[in-house]
Amino acid sequence: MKGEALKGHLDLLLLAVVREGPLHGYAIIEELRRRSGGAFDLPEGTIYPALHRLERSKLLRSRWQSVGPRRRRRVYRLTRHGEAAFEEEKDQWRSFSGAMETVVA
Amino acid sequence: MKGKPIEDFVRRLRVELGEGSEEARLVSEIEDHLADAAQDAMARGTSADEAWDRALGRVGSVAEIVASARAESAPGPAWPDPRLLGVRAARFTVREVKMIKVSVLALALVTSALAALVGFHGVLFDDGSPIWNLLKVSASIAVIGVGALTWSQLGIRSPNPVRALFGGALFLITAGSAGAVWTWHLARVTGDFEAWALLANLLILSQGCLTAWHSYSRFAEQRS
Repeated sequence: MKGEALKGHLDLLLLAVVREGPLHGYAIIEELRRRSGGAFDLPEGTIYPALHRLERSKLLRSRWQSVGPRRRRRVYRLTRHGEAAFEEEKDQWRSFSGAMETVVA
Repeated sequence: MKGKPIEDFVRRLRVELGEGSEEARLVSEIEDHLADAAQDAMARGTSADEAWDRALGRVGSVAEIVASARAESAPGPAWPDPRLLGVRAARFTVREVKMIKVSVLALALVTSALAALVGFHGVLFDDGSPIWNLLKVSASIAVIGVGALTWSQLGIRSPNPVRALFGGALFLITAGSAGAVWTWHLARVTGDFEAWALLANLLILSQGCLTAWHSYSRFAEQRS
């Protein structure tokens, strides 16, 4: 699935992945790819601005975490507001996809 | 070993994104991402050169990342995200919103009339201290002002509510709560319970709550 089709649902996908536990950017993208069976194909670097936006909206929070002596990673985790937003978007997605299925099937 | 293509890519990204702490963080995260992706590939047996090339190929072009950063950092509405307050826009029915709107308009009329009465009384008849009278008159004018704003925004022109209306609602909540508590306190201390004052302040408080709810729900509706 290419970028344009994914963009409208990116927030929900990112929240769903981070909901499982704190993850750094690379791990989030890998998990997204793994769960979608490789179907979600976005340029990986474009995910980070979306993560930053979700953080500005207080749906995620992040902090640097040291990995070895000379490396660090930015680790993202879901906030309470992020959890509420995830549930809300998931409900909306289910209604939408259910309606689509009914029409298209 | 990163190699020149990676260094060139990061340098170009840094230049294109420009200066700023947010941009610096993005560049740093992309660098980390490339390193993680290359390490991953090498751990699976890919040669170093090929691993870095593959990482670079998957991260996207500088132009794509910059375009995404610009799009995601575009200023949104000046209001906070309704999700922060747990507002579920989809749950409001048209009938509910209309009912609240009518109640807000009715309350605005009643509280404005009461405020006019209190202000008028404070100027002409009250024998309290000048500061107390000034406070009452100012509060009355403010309540009337919010009432007029409410009618201009919801009753007459009926556009989308403005931020000032939300500010006005917060003022009513504060003033109504303070007035009700003060009236209750005076009743406890002096034994003189002014039921009408308590009622007026509770009406102001209700108007404030409903106005805040209404304007915020309208905003949530627009956002959704």
